Amino acid sequence: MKERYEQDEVITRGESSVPSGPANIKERIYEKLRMPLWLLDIILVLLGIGIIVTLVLGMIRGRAG
Amino acid sequence: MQLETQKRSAISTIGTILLNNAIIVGIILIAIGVSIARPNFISEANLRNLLSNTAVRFIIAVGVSGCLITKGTDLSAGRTAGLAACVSAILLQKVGYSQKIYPEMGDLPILLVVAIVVVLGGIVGTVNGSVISFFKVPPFIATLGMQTLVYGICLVYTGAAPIGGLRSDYTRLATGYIFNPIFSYVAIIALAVGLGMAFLYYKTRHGKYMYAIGGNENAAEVAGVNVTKTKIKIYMLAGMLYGLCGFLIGCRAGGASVNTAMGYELEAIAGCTIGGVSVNGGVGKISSILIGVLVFELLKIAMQFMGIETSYTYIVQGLVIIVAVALDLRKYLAKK
Repeated sequence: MKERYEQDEVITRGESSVPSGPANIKERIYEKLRMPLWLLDIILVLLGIGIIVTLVLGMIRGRAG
Repeated sequence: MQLETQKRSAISTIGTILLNNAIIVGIILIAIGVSIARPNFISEANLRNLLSNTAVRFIIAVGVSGCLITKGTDLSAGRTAGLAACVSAILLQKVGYSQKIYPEMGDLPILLVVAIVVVLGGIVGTVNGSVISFFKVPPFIATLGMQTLVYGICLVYTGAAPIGGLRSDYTRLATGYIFNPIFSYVAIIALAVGLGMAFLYYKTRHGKYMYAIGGNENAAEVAGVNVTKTKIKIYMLAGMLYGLCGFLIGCRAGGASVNTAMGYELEAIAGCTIGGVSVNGGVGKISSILIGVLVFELLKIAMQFMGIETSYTYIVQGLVIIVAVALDLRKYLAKK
């Protein structure tokens, strides 16, 4: 009886761990992307340049039209 | 040595703050540049226009923010506001107007019409919340379906015809102001909504449940939060705000059609994201939403003053939204 009691598995959760919440679509995409931070920084800089270029082109077209 | 370490740490902190708020900083710099090049950019008329445009989008953004904070979304916001605008316009057409939809209907009290469209928006929101909570349909799909459904209902109800001939006491809401023409009734109403929602978010049980669900839904449920009921309330409240917003859009525009408020939900989500409401859930402040929406409107008006061709402004807005999401992703990855 004592052996059986000792053999019973007790499933414990660590005191600091909580069940992870359901990831939304965005979070699941973020997890799958696995992009290094430096690459994301380069993409951000390119997007910034893209915005500036579009603004300049738009101004030229707007004044020409 | 210690001084250099402190200096590097300070520079790193400033860099992180600038990077996390890059869009806001960038747009403010653009606005400063435009106001130098075009001094009438900071005229009373333009500021009034800016505040007025921001006000209606802010109300929608606040509604959407509750959905975003709980890791959802609401793509039906614009169409619901559009339907509310059409219903408001139809019920507030002046007596004797040749194309009045209900020619036998007399003048309805404006507050009654507000109540009708707010309840209508609330019904749409409740359906959204119920579908998401009970049937576990992803919010993106549920609200996308609702967007199309509401558009169809609006098309059928209006016969795809624009609605005009509004009463002057309704349209006067858009032109009236308190103290200064910059502070229109629309802006005051938006401010009141913002203060009310801030109280709800930060000082009530509902607000705490909302952030708890956004942070960790399972943990919130285990802690005793009625997740289903709270989510339905969030979407219902969002719908009510879209209804109010639709009413205000109708009075500003002096009319309504099926295309009224089209795309407003994307601008609202963009404004929320720029302001720091994370699409990862659990984070978002009313003040940040206001800043995000204001800055986005500032960008649009600045581009008009810069004489940028309209087609290019859409490209810039799209790129700004992508940058906002990319920065949100960067914050998430940097945290991990």
